[in-house]
Amino acid sequence: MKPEDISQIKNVMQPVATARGLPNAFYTDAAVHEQEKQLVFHKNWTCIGFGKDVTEPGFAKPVNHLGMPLVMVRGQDGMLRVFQNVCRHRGMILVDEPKQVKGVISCPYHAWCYELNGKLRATPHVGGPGNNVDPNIDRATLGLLEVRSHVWMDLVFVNVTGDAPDFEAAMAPLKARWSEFMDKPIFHGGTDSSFKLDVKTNWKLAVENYCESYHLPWIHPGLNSYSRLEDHYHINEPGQFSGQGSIVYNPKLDDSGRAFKNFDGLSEKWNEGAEYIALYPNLLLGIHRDHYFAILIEPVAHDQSIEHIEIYYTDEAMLGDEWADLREKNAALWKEIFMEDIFVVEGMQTGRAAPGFDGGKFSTVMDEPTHTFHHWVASQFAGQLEGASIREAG
Amino acid sequence: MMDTADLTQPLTPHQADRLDADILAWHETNSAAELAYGYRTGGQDAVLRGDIDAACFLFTQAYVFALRADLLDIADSLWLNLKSFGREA
Repeated sequence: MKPEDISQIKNVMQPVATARGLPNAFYTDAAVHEQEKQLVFHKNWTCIGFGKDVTEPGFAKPVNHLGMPLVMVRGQDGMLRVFQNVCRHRGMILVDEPKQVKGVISCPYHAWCYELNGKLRATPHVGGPGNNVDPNIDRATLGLLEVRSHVWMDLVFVNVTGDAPDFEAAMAPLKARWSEFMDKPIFHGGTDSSFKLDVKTNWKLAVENYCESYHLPWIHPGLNSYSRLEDHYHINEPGQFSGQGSIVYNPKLDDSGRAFKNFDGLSEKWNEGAEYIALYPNLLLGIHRDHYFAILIEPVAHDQSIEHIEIYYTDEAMLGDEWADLREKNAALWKEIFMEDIFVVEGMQTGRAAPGFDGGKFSTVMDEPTHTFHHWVASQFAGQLEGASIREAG
Repeated sequence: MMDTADLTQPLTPHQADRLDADILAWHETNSAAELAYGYRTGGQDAVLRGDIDAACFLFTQAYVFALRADLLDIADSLWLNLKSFGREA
């Protein structure tokens, strides 16, 4: 990172009134993107996928997580585990596509076999033809490398470095905020409730756009008639998440009055309340009385992201064919809104090539959730700053 | 597919050729269960012919394919076989 970038990071960490946004390098420099993998993603709890993609025992799904080959595996015990998707022998990729692996994960190269809990089960011919024992091969120490993981609200999180705070502690503020929804069953809507958007932008711009309601009247004019700017409020939990809430959620997907079943036991707040939160680093969540969605932003490169959108409902009955038309309408509604955002996040990505752009000036009234996110990203580089300062001083 | 019961006498040359051909075909189609049974038969044949090294090679092949096919009883039985010959830990 260049000295001027370091200086700009310090500006990001000022109060919103005097701060500037993250410097251009955070959006345009592949080297900074590489640094982010370690400092922003691997050191924190990061979402890599969805439990609904690995429901059956013995099913495995490979995940390319920022270039790191991982595999999500559902064990016979029903537990979902995440491993590095490589054989301990020669580093061969073990699972190359989502599939039922049945009893073991078997390397396609020399057929070393791992149980679904990662334990190395078989090392065929390792001691010569027909001899599966080599005194130098201690199977007990050669199981798959497990990555610390946790599943919450069907979201599969990993902490690659293994030293992030306990998941429960890390998520406590959001769990408290959404306590009325916690521990209630959710049901993925199926193929009509799942879609992807390939966006030519840095992942952070998608987060930033999601955080704030300031853009709604201009980018989503269709909302003006029933969800006006003044019907929204900011959500700020420094170091954790930020976003926006609405006080007028009242969907009318069907003229006949049909509506999805609500979560049980919600307070009045949620009759017309909805919240949209960016859970750092790369997860966008939306919660409503009758459905919940998650957008996993997959950072493909410094200037490319894939948004994986999955919509969940409150009751298994909502998955029936008789509800398909409403599920499709709901998914189409969200897809339209998310697609309206694409030209903005791609436009900001292009704009970040302007060398004179200083990261941007925040509105103290409207941009606090965005600044909270910028501040969090900058704070992940704090150790780098200290090191850089020392080197500069030297 | 070959009879999966335990062999009581060695395969005839014709049966052995047929087994080789079947095994090649099952490799082509990734038919793990068939391969487990086929290699196990080959191993049993090698035991009856007194070629323990060949038997253990074939039992090992059968063991891996039994694991891949989730034929756990077969896999456990093959593992015991291999262990009895000092080829498994």
